[in-house]
Amino acid sequence: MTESRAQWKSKMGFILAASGSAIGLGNIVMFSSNAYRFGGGAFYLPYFIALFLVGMPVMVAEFGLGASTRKSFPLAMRVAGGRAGEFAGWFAILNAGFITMYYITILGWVAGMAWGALTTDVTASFGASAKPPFFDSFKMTYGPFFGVVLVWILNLLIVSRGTKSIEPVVKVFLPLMWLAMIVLVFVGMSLPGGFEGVKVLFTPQPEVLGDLSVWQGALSQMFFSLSLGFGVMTAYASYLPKDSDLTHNAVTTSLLNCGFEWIAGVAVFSILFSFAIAPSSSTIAMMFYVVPAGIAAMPFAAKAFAIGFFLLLLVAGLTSSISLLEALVAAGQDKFRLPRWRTLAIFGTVGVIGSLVFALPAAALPGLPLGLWLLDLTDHWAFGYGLLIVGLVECIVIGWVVGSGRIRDFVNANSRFRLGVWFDLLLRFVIPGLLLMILISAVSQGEAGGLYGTKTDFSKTEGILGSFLRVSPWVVFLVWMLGGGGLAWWLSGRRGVEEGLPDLEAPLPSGPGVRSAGEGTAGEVDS
Amino acid sequence: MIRFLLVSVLLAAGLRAQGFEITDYAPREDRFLVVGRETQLRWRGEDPSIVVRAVYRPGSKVEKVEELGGGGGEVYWTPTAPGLVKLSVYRLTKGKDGKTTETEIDKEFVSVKFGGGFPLGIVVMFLAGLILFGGAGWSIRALLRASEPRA
Repeated sequence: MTESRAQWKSKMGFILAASGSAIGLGNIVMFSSNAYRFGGGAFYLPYFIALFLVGMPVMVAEFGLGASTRKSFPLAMRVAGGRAGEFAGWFAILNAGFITMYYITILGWVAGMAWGALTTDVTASFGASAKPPFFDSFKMTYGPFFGVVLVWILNLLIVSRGTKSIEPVVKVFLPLMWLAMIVLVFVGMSLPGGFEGVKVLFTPQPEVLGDLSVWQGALSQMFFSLSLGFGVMTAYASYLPKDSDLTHNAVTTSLLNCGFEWIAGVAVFSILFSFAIAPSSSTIAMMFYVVPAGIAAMPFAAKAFAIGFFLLLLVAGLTSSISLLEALVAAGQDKFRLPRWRTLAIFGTVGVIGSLVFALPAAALPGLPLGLWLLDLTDHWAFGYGLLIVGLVECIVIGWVVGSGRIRDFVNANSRFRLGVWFDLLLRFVIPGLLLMILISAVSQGEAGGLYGTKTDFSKTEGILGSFLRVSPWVVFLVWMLGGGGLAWWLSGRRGVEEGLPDLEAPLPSGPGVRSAGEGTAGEVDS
Repeated sequence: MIRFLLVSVLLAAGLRAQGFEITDYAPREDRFLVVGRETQLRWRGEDPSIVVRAVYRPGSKVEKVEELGGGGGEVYWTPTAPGLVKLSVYRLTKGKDGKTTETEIDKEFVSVKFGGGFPLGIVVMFLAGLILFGGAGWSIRALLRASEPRA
């Protein structure tokens, strides 16, 4: 067996892959929605503070963890924090697994919307007055199943050879995404009132800055938007040479991600203002109802723009979903030294089934308002809490167990911009404090009156289904918390390659091609 | 021009279908209302139990509600802030217990343009863009200046 860890062929390949991971569905529609809700231009103050104080330092830490250990997230966390660290690492990976499943379900719907844009009269089927809107009728058929399978096949193909197959794909997809978004900006700005809409979006409403929820919104948006807490950035950085300039990589990735959000905000809001359509706080609603209604109202080429918009969403979603899948596959390979094809087959099979389960309620029970029920419950825990919990644990492990100074020294060894003691202060005190505050606030606001979803009235649904729906919020919570946690504990206790892991107490090696003893297997390893 | 006309006709048709008719007294270049410019709102049927409200930036943290009156089938309204505004028509009904309940019977979103003044939004947009893209450009340049990693 030949074992060598794959590496990115170029710096730009890594930057494109990492920023492609960060730029996803949320960036295209969520920033404008959040900026609208949280005070327009004034939102940029907490947004930039969150970017510089939380987003960039955590990304540097995740890159540092991956590049120094050259392991995927669970084993990198094992090196950093022992079995408890690995447990947190596996919990992050399993949490990312839940997200991958429903993320690909959403991408299946996006593929269906692109098909709908191609085959129906967009003005009638996507318009604000469409009854029912195309998405409502489409998701209640078995059509999304084809979309889900197609998106999974694309994911498995792109990830099949690790960095060797991911890098060429992102080198095409990322420039395409930027180009499509720039076209959308020009279209939006050329619409009557488009530029006026942008002025409205960015005009600051400073009175919101005294509202704690605005700051929480900015912090959460930054954490989610940069793909932190998934284990993705650590897995991608583990394919970097050890002499990489991690600080500049993190700064570039973060700024490109936020720059894309900025440009998407301009495009989306100019269209919405032009046609007097109110943004929604939900990403799903923005993607499948609000923005399509704006596009459908366009006086020219609405069909072409609708197809282009959903293809843009599909490509943006794919660059994120492949990174999630790679984080899972790399973790499985690193731990159990499985051949890549076998790891892909395991995750692919479980993933396809999971994604279909998320699409099933809407298709199988079209008479009930269940389309997004399961997805919403899972998203609440995996996305709303999981990432923040992982981020908190990660900061504690790196900041207090390993010592942020050690990661800082490793990063500074090859970076032009040197991190100071402030990095340690952020990672040890400020960021964990902020994440803890958001978590406590989320629990006290969201769960105080009962577990999320338990207040939904299913009294009209009788029989076994009604009983199941009433307990489903608890089922989803327990599967996520106890199922994910239990499996993570079991995985962290399984024999793997722990005996060969590098020791962070020893000086961290550096330089291209330098590998630690027992180096892992991700990348091109086969039988 | 044809495009604008087409959009205006579609919009007007949409508004009428919902029961609203918005008449802007000042000559308009396009379909938008403007801050500081009086507008007439009409709806079908006179009903004293009806009130009309303008909700500025609905659903946001800076949402502001303005009572416009109602009952006579028309009100005059001068928008005081730019952005999206939800115009809602409510019917007030008094229950047996004496409590008044409100039912939204119609609504429409309109976009209100700035009526002039310093475009602070543009300054914020350019500043944010400069930080993001200027920073990204600087960072990419610094990154690529270092030697390429081995293939």
